Amino acid sequence: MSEQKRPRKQSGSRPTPKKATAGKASARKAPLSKTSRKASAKAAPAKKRRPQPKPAAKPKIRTSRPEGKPRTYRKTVRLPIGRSTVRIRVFMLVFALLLGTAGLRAVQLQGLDSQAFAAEASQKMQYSRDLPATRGEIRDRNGAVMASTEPAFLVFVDPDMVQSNGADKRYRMSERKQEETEVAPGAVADILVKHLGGRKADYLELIDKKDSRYEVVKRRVPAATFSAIQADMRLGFDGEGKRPWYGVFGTPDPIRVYPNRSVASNVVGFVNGEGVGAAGFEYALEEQLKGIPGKEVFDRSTYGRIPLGTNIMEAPTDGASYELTIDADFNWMVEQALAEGMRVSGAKTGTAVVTNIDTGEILALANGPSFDSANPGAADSDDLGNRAVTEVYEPGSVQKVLTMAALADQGIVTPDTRMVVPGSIPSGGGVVRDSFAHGDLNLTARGIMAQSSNVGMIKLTRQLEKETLSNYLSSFGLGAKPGTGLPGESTGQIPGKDMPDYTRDQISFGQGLSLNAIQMAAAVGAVTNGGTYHAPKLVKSATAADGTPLELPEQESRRVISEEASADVVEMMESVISLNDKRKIDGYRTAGKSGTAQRFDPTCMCYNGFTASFVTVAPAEDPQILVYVVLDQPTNGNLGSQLALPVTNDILSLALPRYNVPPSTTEVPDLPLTFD
Amino acid sequence: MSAQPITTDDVPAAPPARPRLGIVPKPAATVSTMGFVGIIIALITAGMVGVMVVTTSVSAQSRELASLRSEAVQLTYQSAALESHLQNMGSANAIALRASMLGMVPNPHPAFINLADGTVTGSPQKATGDEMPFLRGIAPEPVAPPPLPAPTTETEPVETAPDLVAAGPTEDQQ
Repeated sequence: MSEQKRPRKQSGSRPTPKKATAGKASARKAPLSKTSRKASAKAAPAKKRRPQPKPAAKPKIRTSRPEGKPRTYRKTVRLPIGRSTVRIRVFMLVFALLLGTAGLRAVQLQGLDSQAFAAEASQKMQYSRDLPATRGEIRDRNGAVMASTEPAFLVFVDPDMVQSNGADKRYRMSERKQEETEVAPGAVADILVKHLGGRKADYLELIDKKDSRYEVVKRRVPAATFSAIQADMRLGFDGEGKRPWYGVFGTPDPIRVYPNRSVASNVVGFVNGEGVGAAGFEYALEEQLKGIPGKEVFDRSTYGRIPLGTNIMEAPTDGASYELTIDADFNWMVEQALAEGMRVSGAKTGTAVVTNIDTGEILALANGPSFDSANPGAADSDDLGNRAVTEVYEPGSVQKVLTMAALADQGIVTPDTRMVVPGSIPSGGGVVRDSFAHGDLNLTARGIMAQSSNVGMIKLTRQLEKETLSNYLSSFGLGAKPGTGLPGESTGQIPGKDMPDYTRDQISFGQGLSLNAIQMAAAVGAVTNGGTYHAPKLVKSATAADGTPLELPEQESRRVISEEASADVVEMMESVISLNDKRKIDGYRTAGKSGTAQRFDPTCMCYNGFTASFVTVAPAEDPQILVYVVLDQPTNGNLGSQLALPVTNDILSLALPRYNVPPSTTEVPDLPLTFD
Repeated sequence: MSAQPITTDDVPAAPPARPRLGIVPKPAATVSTMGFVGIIIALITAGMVGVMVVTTSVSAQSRELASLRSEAVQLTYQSAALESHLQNMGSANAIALRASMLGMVPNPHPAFINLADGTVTGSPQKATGDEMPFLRGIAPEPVAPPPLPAPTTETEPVETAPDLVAAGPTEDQQ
């Protein structure tokens, strides 16, 4: 094409005859460099074409051409137009260039840094979102839900969008749209009031905020409620769904629900604002309960998901679910009984533990004051733990059960062992007395237990090696964490085999050592169930999200005293109850022991106040259920037998029929407490 | 053993005359040009329609899948709400409160009927109604100060602002 253009452009500077005649070289050059129209016209007939009818040009050229020159020169300089081979070549070249460029680009994209480009491309249309795992449930022994997760949303409004009802503010709104925007805030507020409750004015205030795109309306709105809000929003202006309201959104914000609220809340615990366990089993089992979140990756365009595109779904693994040994309904009753006991005694705090002594399972565990798992913020932060496992105290006379068990197992004592018990006994630098003044008493071991004689216990225990006593205390589980799985378990303190003599004296009746309520319940359970210690158990079973059972740490069980010794101690404990008819319950023979301990105050390192407690097992002929109640710092009296016993008896009356223990058919044997 | 040479008495025949080469006749077209074009167009159309049908059905199915999924999610939400409602109704607190409202009282006098022989273990007694008042959320009369540990069976405090509306269950929940 240049050949065609050039002549026209340069037609003004046509080679003049003067120039042409200048010489051989210039003549040769002229057609090469200038290719005037005339020259091409002249050359064509010479080479291949028929002469073109351009007579006017011919003479001119002829005059310019030197005579005798061969015409072949012109042949080489010509670029003929309209010839197919040339066209093909030119097009080939152009296409080769285009394809080559494309090819090079392809090589660059595919060969040099393909990974990065592919990643960039996929990033532009690939979306991924986390699929949260559902937190595992906590249930009671009968399957009642103690803690569960309900899908919920954080509901927020985009005030800007509500005000314009979704219209683009950059453009003028149609009248129809303006009509909508006028009523939109009110209508949206009405919808929120309908489903979330509250005042319309409060919602309007949120919606009317200027230049805001995000205002939280409410957290933890049940998913079904949020769906209902969305449905109402879709109905919109005319209620037919053709002109919907815009501007209310939600993001997942699951609620941890505790339907039983304060029941066994100290065991179940609660989750914090971020949904992470903060107390109780919610905290202790956090790792297992929370599960593993999944992920979904998919391709998406403006019009939604691309069918048959990338669609990778990494399903979340939901958390494991746990079944406790706690019986929620019964736990509620125990809590009420304990609350009543605390009210009557004026105690500052209280603990009640009910166990199945044949298995070590804790059937109920109540703390007072307690809290509502669904609203832990309302409670005193000191009450958010579980005092039954965290708080240690000196057990007082309940400890006599353990001392007597060690003595009976060693063959030192039978219920009929006779002992002259003086009014006081020197111990260490001082003197130990009984809780009631008396002269010399002729008491059997049974009588010592029934009268709760400290002096008698000291005299009996002095026959026991200190090392043996220390070993018995350890084998009863004292001085070590009880292993319920609850967080913050205390170990308490027991003296070692190198204890001084006065410490042995103290321990015999429950001073000079510390323990928690669960430890004591487990130890007395071991004494009364025939002599086998079962580590206290709160988790009955665990199930993975797919239904497979999870293995739990094996429960520790060991024989600590002989069956005979166990039977002897139960017999002695029954005499504590039979001493006074008011201590009995309807239908069952029971055995128990009171504890009235001075309370050691770590702030002043002195004894300050009391801890009243009572432990009861029933039925006495074959103990199955144990109830242990501890009332700390009572203000209306201090005796365990007066303050804590009524609570244990109420709890036992409820527990025994509930767990299918048939009423006792035998009479309480009348056995001697004294001798002549 | 040696093979006897095969002899033949036939005089070798003269090589057959080579067939004469000729121009292969142009095969007669079975389809006219227009027919051929028609077939091609038909094929293309069929292909296009096929692709269109497949694409449409895939996208329709994908749409249906999405709508079913969202329906499933909605139903999950609904079932979760109902379950939660049920759990609240079945909680120890709620049942105790309801039982108390119905006038039920605990009976601490146990008696078991032995189904094997029809005998009764224990001495059944009628509840008088004043047993274990703490289980009914009723504090006994002779109490000096107001009860400290409030029973947990209390209902939610009801606010009384005139324009305050309690969040009611949604239509589907009722």
